[in-house]
Amino acid sequence: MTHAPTNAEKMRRLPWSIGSDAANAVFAQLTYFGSIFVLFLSALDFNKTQIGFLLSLVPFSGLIALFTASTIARFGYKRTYIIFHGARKTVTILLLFTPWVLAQFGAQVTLIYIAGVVAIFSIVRAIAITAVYPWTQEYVPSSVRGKYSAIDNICATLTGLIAVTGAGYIIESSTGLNGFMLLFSIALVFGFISVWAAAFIPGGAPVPEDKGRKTSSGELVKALRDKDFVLYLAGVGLVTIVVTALASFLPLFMQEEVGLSSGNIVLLQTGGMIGGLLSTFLWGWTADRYGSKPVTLSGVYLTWLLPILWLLMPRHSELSLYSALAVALLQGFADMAWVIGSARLLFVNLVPPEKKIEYMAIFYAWVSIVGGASQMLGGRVLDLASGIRGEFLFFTIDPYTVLFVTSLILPALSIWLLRNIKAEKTVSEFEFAGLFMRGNPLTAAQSLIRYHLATDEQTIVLTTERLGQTKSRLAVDELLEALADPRFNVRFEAIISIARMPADPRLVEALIKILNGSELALSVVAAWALGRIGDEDAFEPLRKGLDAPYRSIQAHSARALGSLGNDEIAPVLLQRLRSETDKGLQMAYASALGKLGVTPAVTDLLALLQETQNEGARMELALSLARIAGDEGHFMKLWRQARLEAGTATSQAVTSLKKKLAKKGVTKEILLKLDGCAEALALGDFSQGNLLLQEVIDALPLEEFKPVCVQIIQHCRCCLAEFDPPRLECLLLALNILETCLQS
Amino acid sequence: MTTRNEPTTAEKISKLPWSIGANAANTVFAQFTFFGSVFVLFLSDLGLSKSQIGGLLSLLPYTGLIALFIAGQVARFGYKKTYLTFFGGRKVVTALLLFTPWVLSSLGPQVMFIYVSFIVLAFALCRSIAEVGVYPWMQEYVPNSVRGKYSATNNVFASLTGFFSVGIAGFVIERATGLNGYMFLIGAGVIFGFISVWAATHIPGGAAVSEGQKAGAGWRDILRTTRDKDFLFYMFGVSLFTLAVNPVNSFLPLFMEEEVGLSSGNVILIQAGTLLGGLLSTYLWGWAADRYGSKPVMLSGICLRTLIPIFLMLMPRNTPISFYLALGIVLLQGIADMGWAIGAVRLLFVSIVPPEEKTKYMAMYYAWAGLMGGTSQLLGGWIVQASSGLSGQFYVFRLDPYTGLFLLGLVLPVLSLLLLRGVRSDTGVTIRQFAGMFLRGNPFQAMSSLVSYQFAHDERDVVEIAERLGGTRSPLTVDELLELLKDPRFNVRFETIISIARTRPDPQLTEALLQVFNGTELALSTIAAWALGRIGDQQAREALYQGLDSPYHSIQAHSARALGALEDIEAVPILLQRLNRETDKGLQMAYASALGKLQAREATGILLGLLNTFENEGARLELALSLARLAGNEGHFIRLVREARADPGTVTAQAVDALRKKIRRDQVNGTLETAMETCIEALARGELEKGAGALGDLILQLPPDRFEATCLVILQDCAEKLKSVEASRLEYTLLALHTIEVGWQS
Repeated sequence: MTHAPTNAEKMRRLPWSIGSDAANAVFAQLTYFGSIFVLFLSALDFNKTQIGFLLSLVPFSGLIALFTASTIARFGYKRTYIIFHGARKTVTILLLFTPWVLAQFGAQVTLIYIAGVVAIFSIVRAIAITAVYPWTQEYVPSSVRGKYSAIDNICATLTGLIAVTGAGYIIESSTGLNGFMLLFSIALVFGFISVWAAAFIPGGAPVPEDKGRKTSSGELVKALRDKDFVLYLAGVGLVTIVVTALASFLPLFMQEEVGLSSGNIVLLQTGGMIGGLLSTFLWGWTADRYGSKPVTLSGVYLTWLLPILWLLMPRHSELSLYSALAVALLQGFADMAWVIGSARLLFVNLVPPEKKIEYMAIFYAWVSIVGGASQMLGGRVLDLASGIRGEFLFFTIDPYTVLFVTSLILPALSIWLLRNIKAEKTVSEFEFAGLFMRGNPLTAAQSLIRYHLATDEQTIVLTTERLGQTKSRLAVDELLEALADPRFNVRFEAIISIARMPADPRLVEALIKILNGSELALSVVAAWALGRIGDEDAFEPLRKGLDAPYRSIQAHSARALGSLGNDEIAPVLLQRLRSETDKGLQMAYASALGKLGVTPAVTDLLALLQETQNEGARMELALSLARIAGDEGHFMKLWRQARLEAGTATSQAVTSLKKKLAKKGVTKEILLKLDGCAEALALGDFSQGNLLLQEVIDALPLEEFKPVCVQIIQHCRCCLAEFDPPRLECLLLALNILETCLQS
Repeated sequence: MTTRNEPTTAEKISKLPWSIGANAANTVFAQFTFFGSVFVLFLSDLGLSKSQIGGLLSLLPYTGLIALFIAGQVARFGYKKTYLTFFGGRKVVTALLLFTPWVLSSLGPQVMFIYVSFIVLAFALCRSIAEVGVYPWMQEYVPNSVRGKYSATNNVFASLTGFFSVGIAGFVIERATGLNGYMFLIGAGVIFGFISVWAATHIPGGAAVSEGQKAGAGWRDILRTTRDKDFLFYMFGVSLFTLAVNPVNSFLPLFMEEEVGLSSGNVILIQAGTLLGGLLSTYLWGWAADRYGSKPVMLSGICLRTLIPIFLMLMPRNTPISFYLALGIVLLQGIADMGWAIGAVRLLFVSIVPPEEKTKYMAMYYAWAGLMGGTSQLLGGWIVQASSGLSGQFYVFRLDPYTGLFLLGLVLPVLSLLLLRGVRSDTGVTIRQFAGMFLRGNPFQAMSSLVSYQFAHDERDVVEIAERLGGTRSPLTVDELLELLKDPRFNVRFETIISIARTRPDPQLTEALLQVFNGTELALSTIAAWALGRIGDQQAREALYQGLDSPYHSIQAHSARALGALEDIEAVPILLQRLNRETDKGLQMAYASALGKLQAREATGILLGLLNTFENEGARLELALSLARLAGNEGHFIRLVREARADPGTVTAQAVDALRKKIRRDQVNGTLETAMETCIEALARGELEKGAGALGDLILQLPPDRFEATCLVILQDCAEKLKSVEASRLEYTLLALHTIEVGWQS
C-alpha cells in the first residue's frame, strides 16, 4: 500500500518546491508575465487592442479548469503538472522564431503566429495550474504554510529581481528584437530547471476512480450558493480587473506619459519586487497570526491609493523615475498583501476541503474570465480614449486617466464586498492597523525575531523583557508562548512583561489561569500583574483570590482589587480588615480601601495607624487616609520634601496653609500661631512647632470641614499631642488634610 | 538646628527668587559693559592697541589681590552691607563711561585712555570688594539642600537674559555708527545694574560678624593656607586653566573679526552660542555635580575645553560657513566652560575649603585667582602683540597672531588636568566612571525619565516612571530607583524592585535589594529574592544562602532558584541535601531547577525519580529541562519543545531523522537503521505512543560506549519509560532525543 507522504517527508522536500518556483519566476519575468512581453509586443508594432487581446488569452484559458479538474485528479496532479509545466516551456521556444516570421511573412502573419503561441501556452499553463493547486495544498503542511509562503515568495522575488534587473540592462543596450530573443532563451533554460526541480516534490498521486468526485453542474451551482464564496469572487473579480489592467498597461503609461525609457520601465518592476520582498514575511506572518481578511483588505486599501499617486506624479522630469520607483515599491507592498491574504482566505476559510474541486475550479475559471476581460477591456478603453488630453486642477488628463479613475472606484466596491465575508472572524482591518500604531512596532518586530532565535535562558529572559517594553499588541502571542516555557524564570519574566503591557483580553485570561494555577510563586505575581494592568475582567478572579489558601495571594489580590478601582469590593475588604489579625494582610486591605477612597474605613484605618509600630507601615496607612480625605499628590510631594529636610518642608507647608486661611478670613490669632509654627519648624524646633500646630487645630472652625476631614484632623491632633517630637506621618497627614479640605 | 538670628532655610528658600532676579539683571549689565565682546570692540574702536586692551582687562582680576587685606574688615562691616555698597558703587563708576566720547573729542586719545583706565580701575576695585563680600554671603543664603537646583535655575535665567542682551547688543552695534551704539548699550547696562542692586537688597542674611566670632584674618594667616597641599594643587590647577582660557576668551572676538572675517555684529552674535551652550548644559552639570561630585564635572569641562583651540585653528576662514562653524565651536565652549565653572566652584566650597577657615581660604583663593586672571589678560595681549607678524601654514593649521594663544589654550589645560586629578574629591567617582554613565544604557531616556520623576506624584504615574527608569539601563537612574524603594506605596516599591532587577547591576542597588530581602515585608522579600537572582550579582550569595533557611517557602524557593541563576557551584551539596529530604512540591521543583542550572550531575538519579512521580505536566517538562541541562545544550531541548507544541509527530520524526544522518556517518550496525526507520515512520504518522516505544527499542540498541555516564543513565531511564505506560509522556521522548543528539560521541 502506498502511503501519502508524511509531514516530515513533505518538509524535507520543500526546498525543491521553493527552488522550482524560484527558477520559474525567472522564466515568468523574462517571458509572458513581466513588462518585457508588453514591450516586445509593442516593439512588434501591435496596437493596444491587439496587445490586450494577446494578454487576455492567458487568463481566458483558465476557463478550461471547469472541464478538466476531475480528469486531472484521476491522471494525477503531479504527473499532469510536470507534463504541462514542461510543455509550456517547449511551446515558448517558438517565440524565438518571431524575428524570422516577421521578416518572411510580415506583421499580420506575425500577429497570428504570436497569438497561436500564446494560445497554446495559455491552455497548457491552465491545465498545469489546475493540477498544481490541489497538489500544493497537499505537499505543504499546514503547520508551516505561512513560513513556506514567506520563504517561497522571498526566493522567487529575489530571483525575479535579479532577472528583471538584468533584463533592463539587456533591453537598454540592445537594438531591435535581439534583446528580447536573448531574454527568452535565458528564460527557457530556467524554465526547464524549474520542471526538473518540481519532479522531486512528493505527493500529487492520482485519485482513484472510487474516491474521485465528478464535477457536475449541480455541484458547481451549490458552490455558487455559498454567500461568502460569491462575495469573495465578486471582490476578487473587481480587484483583478484593476490589478491586471494596470499591470499590463502601466509600462506603456510610464513610457508614453511619464517619459521613462524602456530600461527604466523594466527597472520599475524592480521597485515592485523589492516592495514585495520587504513585506512578504510581514504579510505572511500577520496573515497566519491575525487572519487573512485584514491582510487582504490592507492590500486593497493600498491598491486604492496607487492610482491617486500615479495621477499626481511628476512627468518628464528628473524626479519622475524616483517617484515612479517609490510608487512601485508601494505597489509591491499592496500586491503582496493582496496575494498572500486573498489566497489564504480562499484556502483556509472559504473552500471546504471536501468540495475543493468544485470551488477551486470555479475560482480559477472566474479569475481567468475576469483577468482576460480586464486585459481586453483595458486595451480597448485606452484605444478609445487615445484622444483625451487636458488638465483638471492639478491632474493631467490623458488616455490612462480613465483607467486610473476605474482603479479608484472598483477597489472601493471590493472593500465593501470583502468586509461582508463572515467565514473568518478575526480582527477587523482597523484593529489590524491599530496593531502597528500602538506601542513600538519596530522594536516589537525586532524582539519577535530575537525571541524566535533565542534558546538559552538568559537571552530568552531578556527578549521577554523587551517584548513587554514594546507595549505593542504584536508581541502578545510570544508573551503567551513564554508563559508556557518550561523554565520558571522565563514564565516569571513573562508575567512581569505582561503586567507592563496594555490590557489585552488574551493576556488577562492567561494571567487569570496562572492565578488559579498550582504554582504559588507565579500565582502571587499574576495577582499583582492583574492589578497592574487594571483590566476589569480580572475583578472576579481577584475577588476569589481573597479566599486563596495562601496569604501572599490574598494580599496581592486585595491590593490588585484596590488598583482596579471597582468599589463593589469595598464592603468585603472592610469586613476582612476588621476581622484580620495578620499584619501583612491588614496593610493590604487598608491600602486597597485607601485606593478605593472608602470613607467608612477611616475609623478602622485610624485605629490601625494608632497601633502600628513599623514606621514604613504607618506612613503607608497615613497615605491611605490622605487618599480618602485628602490629596495623594500633595501628600507625596510633602513626603518627598520632608525626607530631605523635614523642618523646612513642613514649615513651607504651614506657610502655604496660612496664605489660604488668610484668604478664608480666619482670625489674626490663628495666623500669628501659624507664623510661629512655621518659624519653629523652619528652625528645626519640632516640639514648639507641634504645640503651635495643635493650637491652630483647636482654634480652627472645624465645623466648616467635611466630617471625614474633621475625624482625621482630630486624630492627628491627638497623635501630635501624644508624641514629642511628633510622628512625621501625623504631621504630614494633618498638614495634607488641612490643606486639601480647605481647598474643597 | 539653626540659631534664631540667622534666616531659616524656609526663609532663605522663599527669598531665592530675588537672588536669581538680581543675577539676571546683573548679567545684562555685565554683557553691555565690561564683560562681553562689546567692551573689547569698544576699546578697539577707541583706537587702543591690543597690549593696552590686555592691560585694561587685566585690571579687573588683578584688583582681586585686595582680598588678602580686607577680608576681616568686610566680615565685620557685614557681607550684605559691603556687597550692596560696592555693588552699587561700581554701577555709578560705570556710568562715567558715558562721557568717553566727550573726553575723546575734547581732550584727545591720551587723556581718554587715562580716563578709561581710571574708570576700569575704580570699577575693578569696587567689584573686588563687593565680591569679597558676596562669596561668604552666598554660602549662607543658599541652603545646601537646594544648592544644585539654585545654581541651575540661576544659570538658566542668567544665560537667558545674557542671550537676549547679546542679541540686542549685536543688533545695536551692527546698525549704529561711531561710538553711539556703545553708549546706548552702556546706558542700558547701568539701568539694569541698578535694578540688580535693588533686587539684591531683598536677599536675607549677610549680617556683620562680631569681633568675638574671629571672622577676620591677617594676611600672614591667609598665606599659611598654602601649606594645604590640596588647596595648593587646586590653585595651581585653576591658575593654569585660567591662563589658558582667559586670553582665548578675551581675544576670540578680535580673532573672529580679523582672521575669520566675521562682521562686528556677527562677532557679538556668536557670543550667543557660548551662552546657549551654557544654558543647555547648566542643569545637567549642576545636577551631575550634586550627584556625582564636583571633580568629575570640573575635569570633564577641562577635557572639552582642550578641544576648542584645535577647532579654532582648523576652522575655515572667510567662507559663508565660517559663521555657523564659529557658532558651533562657541556652543561647545559654552558647555565646557559651564562644566568647569560649576565643578570648580563647587569643589572649592565643598571639598577644598574647610568651613571653619573659609575666610582665610576664600581670601587667598580670590586674591590668587585675581592675580592669575590679570596675568592671563596681560599675557594674552602680549602674545598676540608679539606674534603680530606671524602668518603661514603648518600642515592643516593656519598660523596667525592668535596661534600662540591657541597653543597655550591646548597645553595648559592638559597640565591643569594632571594637577587637579590629584586633589581631594567630595565623592569617589572618577572622570572615567562619570563619562561611562553617559555611555551606558540610554542616557537621553534616562534624563527624560528623571525629569518626569520629579513631576509625578500619583501612583500610576510613579509606577510607570519606575518602569521607565529601569528600562533605560542607565547608571544615571540609580538614585531615583533607590528613592522609590522607600516610597510609602507598596505598588511603587514592588515595581521598583522589578525595575532594579531589569536594569544594569549596580552595587548600591544590590545592597538596597538585600535590605528589602532581609526586611519585614514578605511580598517584597520574595520578589527581592527573585530580583537578586535576575541581576546575577555575586554580592547576593550570602544573603541567598540565608534565604534558604527562611520560614517562608516562597523565599526559600526564590533563593534556591536565584543561587542556580548565580551559577554558584558551592550550593550544589546544600541543594541536593535539601532536595533529598524536601516534601513540598514547590520547593522540590525549585531545588531541582537550580541543580539543573548548576549542571549538578550527581542529581541525575533524584531528578529522574521526580520526573517519574510528578503528575503536573508543566512541572514534568521543567524537570525534563533540568535533566536536559545535565546532558548539555539547553537550547536544543528548548527548540524541540517549542516545535513539538504545534506538531509533535513531525518534529520528533525530524529529530530522529537528523540522528539517523549523524549515526550513519559513524557507520554503526544496520539494525539501528531499521529501528530508526520504524521509529520515524510511526512518529511521522502521528502514532506517538508507537513511535515512543520504537524510540525505547532504538535506545537499547545504541552502543553504550558512545555516551558518557550521565547521558547513559538518562537514556536508560527514558528507554524504560518509553517502552512502558509512560510512552504517552512527550517529555520522555523529547528528553531521549535531546540526550542522544547532544550525548552521542563520534
